[in-house]
Amino acid sequence: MSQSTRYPKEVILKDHREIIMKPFEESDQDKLLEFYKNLPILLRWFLKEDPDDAIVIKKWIDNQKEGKAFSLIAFYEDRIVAHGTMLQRLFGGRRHVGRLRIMVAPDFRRLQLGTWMIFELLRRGMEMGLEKIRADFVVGLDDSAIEAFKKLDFIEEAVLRDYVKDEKGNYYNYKILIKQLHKELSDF
Amino acid sequence: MTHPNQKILIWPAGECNITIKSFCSPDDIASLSLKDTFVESSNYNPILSKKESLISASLQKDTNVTIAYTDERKIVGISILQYPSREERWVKIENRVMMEVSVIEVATKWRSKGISKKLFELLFEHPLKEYRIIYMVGYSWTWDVAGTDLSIIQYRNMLINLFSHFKFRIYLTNDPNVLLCPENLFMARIGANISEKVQMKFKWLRFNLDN
Repeated sequence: MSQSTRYPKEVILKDHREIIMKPFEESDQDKLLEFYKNLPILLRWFLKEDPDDAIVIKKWIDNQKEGKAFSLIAFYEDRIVAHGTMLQRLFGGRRHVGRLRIMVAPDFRRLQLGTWMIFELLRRGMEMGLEKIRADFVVGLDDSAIEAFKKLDFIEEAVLRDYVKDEKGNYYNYKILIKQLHKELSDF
Repeated sequence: MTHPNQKILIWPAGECNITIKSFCSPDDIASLSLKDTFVESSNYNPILSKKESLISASLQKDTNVTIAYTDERKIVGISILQYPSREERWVKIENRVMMEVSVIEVATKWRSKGISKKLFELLFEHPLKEYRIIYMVGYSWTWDVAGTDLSIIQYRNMLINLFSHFKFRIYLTNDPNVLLCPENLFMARIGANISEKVQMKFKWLRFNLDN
């Protein structure tokens, strides 16, 4: 299906700023790197990879080319202000489970931008044939995101106690939320 | 009286010919039957099951009721392009700029024969097409996927393909009904003569904001 039917998509945020959402492309690498470099360490120390590293961003591009991921970026004017990814394993018993990751710039939080990104990525997850979507959060840091995901029918499936540790040695609980995707409507 | 823009197309759909007629008048509709094809044979609830609703729509200003029917005058497909009702947010753009594809439906046995595309061809042969923003709202819970091999998201993609053929694009909106399910769909076609100002209003209205 033609991407031009779908993207770019405009969103007007609650504060009236206009955002353009589109799939992440190779030409956006530098801007995405800049986005992550500008994020306070508080918002990214718990990630599995360091997005402040150009090699990591390049790997994300490769994942997308190989069909392991779909990445969406949100622009405000010329700046990336949010990045979301739906990851899929191409092999094994977890092929039907997608992993959703979203990062929003601090000055664009609480404006529903994250919710718009989740909606877009959920639709993509359905098209990828996924049955469950998993999203992970650090309790105490991601609390507003946890509430937003729960409003979109993500269910709390597990809490791993003291699972992540920051540079000062503080431990945080780690929460796993799952959303079931349905291929068809019920007959009820 | 026949509408000056009425078009009639004969379409070979399998074993028999289907007549597709646009701008159907109340008399045209009165001479056709919904009974066998839509009312009694459906295992789902069609959007329209009474001719009175079609006749009522055909009497509205600028409305195009395009119908596909058999030689036995049995209706097998319906599409309607009309102005939105007063409670819809889209009426906030003045001068009746917005028009909705409120119905597109083909009877179960007559699907996959290209009828919906032909219905659309005549539906969009509307004299005001380039002066209107034509939109559609797709609610996944109304899609009749039973009897097809399609999942909800595949059915959605089929609709996107169908509408994009007629230059519709997906737009985001915070319309609460659209947001109820991620599968729901809002698409629109902006006519060539729609001013920048009206396009801007449409953009803001999609998010229920005044600019």
